[in-house]
Amino acid sequence: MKKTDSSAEPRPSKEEIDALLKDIPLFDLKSVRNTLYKRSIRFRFCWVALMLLTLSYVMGWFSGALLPMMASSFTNLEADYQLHQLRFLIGFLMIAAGTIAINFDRHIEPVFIGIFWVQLYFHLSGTLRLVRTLPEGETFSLTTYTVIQSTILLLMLWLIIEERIYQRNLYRL
Amino acid sequence: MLKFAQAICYIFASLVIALFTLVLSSDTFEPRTASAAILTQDLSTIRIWIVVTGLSVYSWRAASGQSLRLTLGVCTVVAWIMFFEDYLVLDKVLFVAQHPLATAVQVTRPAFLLAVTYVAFKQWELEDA
Repeated sequence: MKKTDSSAEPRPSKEEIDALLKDIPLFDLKSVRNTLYKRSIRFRFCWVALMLLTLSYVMGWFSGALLPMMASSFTNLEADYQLHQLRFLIGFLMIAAGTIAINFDRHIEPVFIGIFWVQLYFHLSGTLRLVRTLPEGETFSLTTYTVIQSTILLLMLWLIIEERIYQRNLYRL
Repeated sequence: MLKFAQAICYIFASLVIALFTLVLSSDTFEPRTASAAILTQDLSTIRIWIVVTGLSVYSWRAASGQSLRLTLGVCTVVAWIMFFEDYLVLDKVLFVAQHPLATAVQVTRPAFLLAVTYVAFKQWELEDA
């Protein structure tokens, strides 16, 4: 039987590997940018607005500005606080899923439809929770929460509609 | 296999609707505090609507021959999120496993999650082919 010698096998050089991997659009920010430039200005606006809302939410959370408006501040129930933390984490996972879909320019519409429904569930249960726990006459927290969540939902809906229009136009071509 | 997985989903949905109706209508379930009681009621109300809506949309789309993959995908994601919420957070607030119906829901839930995930992937595969 012929003895194989692995050291004698030809191996690609680093330059060759780099050249092969260059065209694979993995988590390269350029790909997100390319996908966004292919879409309409309204799609880009929705995406940037969603990112800005997320950023301001994170800043509000870490500065403590959001804490007095949360249901856990009124109920003193640990579960409310933990529920918020979990949803916060899920929110980031959803942003990651959306970014990956945009990065690969694949299944953008189904991914955002999924995110939309999950967000709607968070919105409905969160609003109901605030309505049931807020003290009498306290409407500021409820209004702020509802406006922010509704804005996110509307932006997402707009983004889905824009993506559908883009795909339809692409199909016609 | 697909039919079997779908049967598990239907059985679980029926059990959940029965359990949540019981939670909302009877005083058998007593959470520890008044806030916890409100939280249990609120979540039960929302979830009963989600299950009923999911089942109705699925049945209607299946009956009218429309695409099911997105509906199933959304239902699967929401089911997993509710499972994480219950398992990681709400366990201490609303668990009522001493009731036979609640035990049945807890026991069949992992099977349901596997079944609904399988059905969603399978549906995606079938519609792609």
